[in-house]
Amino acid sequence: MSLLIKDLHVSVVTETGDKPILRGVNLEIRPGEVHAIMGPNGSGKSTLAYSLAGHPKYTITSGAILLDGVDLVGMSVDERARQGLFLAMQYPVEIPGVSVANFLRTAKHAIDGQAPALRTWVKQVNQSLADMALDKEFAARSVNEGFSGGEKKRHEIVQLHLLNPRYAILDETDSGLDIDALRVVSEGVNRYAEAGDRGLLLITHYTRILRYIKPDFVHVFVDGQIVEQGDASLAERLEETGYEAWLGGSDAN
Amino acid sequence: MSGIEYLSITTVDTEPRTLMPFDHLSVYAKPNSAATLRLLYPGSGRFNGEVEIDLAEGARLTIISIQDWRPEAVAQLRYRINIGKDAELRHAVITLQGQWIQHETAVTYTGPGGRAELLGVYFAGAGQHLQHSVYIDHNQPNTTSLVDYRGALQGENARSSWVGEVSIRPEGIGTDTYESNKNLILSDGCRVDAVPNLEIETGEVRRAGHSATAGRFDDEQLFYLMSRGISPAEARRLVVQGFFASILARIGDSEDWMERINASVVLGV
Repeated sequence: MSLLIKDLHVSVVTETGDKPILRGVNLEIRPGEVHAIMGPNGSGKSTLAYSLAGHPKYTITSGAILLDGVDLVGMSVDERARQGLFLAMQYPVEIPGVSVANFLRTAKHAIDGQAPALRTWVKQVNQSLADMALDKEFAARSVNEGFSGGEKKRHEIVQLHLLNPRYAILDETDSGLDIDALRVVSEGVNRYAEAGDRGLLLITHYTRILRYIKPDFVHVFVDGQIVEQGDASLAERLEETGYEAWLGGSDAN
Repeated sequence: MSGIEYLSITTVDTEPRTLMPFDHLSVYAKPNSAATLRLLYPGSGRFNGEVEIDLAEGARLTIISIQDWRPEAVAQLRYRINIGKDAELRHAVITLQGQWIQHETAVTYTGPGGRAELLGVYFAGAGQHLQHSVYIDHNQPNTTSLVDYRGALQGENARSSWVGEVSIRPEGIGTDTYESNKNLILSDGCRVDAVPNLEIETGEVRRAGHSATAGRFDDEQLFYLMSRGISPAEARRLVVQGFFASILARIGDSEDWMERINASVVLGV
């Protein structure tokens, strides 16, 4: 049982041809583990997140992504999600005219393969909203439309709770959050992880979210590869030294 | 009497047959009256209709024109509307299908302070050409017009034409107007023409604006929905429903009709 990424190579289609971004990523996340990937801007961290979720802009040229033994590579975006993968996005997308309530119910129905029981579902939604310091009226708003940066990220964590995936990737969930919102979001992530059988991958640029969510493993990501691994103390070292030591001559952008 | 009177007129038999070639209806809304009028145009054949509407001072009138033609129908409809002092009109056009449908709405004001809200929803299928035009003549001071038409197109040679012609006369000081047409293109082979025109003959307006768009599904929206396990077909249905949701809410007709329209706009998406 694990989310296993094996020698993953990914290219992005550009006007001048395919451009390789990921150059052989190897990573295994077991249930109950919290991993943090840290790296400078342009190192390919978000490409990794999008590639795992199946964004059509990115092409997996070789390698495998095994979720509890099932290869996700040939699967569509929605099939991957139904296998138990969740991506909390750095830039959640606005869907005008589709209410949060309708969206959450449709997603829950799709993930579970059956409609959620109406009575308990509404309670569950309201509880999840309250946990993230969002009021009931939030459910009537259009998905991400007119949300503040903090509301968008809290809404992602509401989904994380309600859909309760086996493996979750959080792509720069800490960016754009003030200190109070960061705490609310971090506590929400910790509640998801405390079940102990969920795998979590945090992608982040800064160490500050790691003060609230303790990683078991920290990976330094540079130029489309993991270049160093360690425990939580590696993040502290990064705080002092930055990425300088690994950046010699990198042409990533 | 201040209660709302509700009137629903079905212009012709719902059975498929050749319609009357011409139909003329005249509506007068008394001073300070409030009413909703629903005009239903079903059936097939060829049809030419004209509706004249006068709103007296302070009248509030909602008109819902529902084009529920069969796919082979050819129809031309004109609404000529006069809005009295401080009267309020809400006019909604819903065009579900038809081979060639031309729907024209012309508004003039007979006193200051009148307000017109013109809403449109349409869905053009393969080989269907739906035309909507709106003419608004701000010929009185402090009048308002808000125009919002939204349509979806799907199938080979599905076509929409939209013309919005707003004139602000020298006497139309204090005018507030905004017109918008948005089109969602769901497949290859569709064509959209949108022509928002604005002619301003006075500098003293509160607002005068217009916009028109035509676009495909946003891939990022579909990715976001699918990343939550939602199938591509369901994701597209959600986006289309969302596209029409705010305008349908503003039309606010009976639930039955809204269900029917919702079913039509998502059919085959």
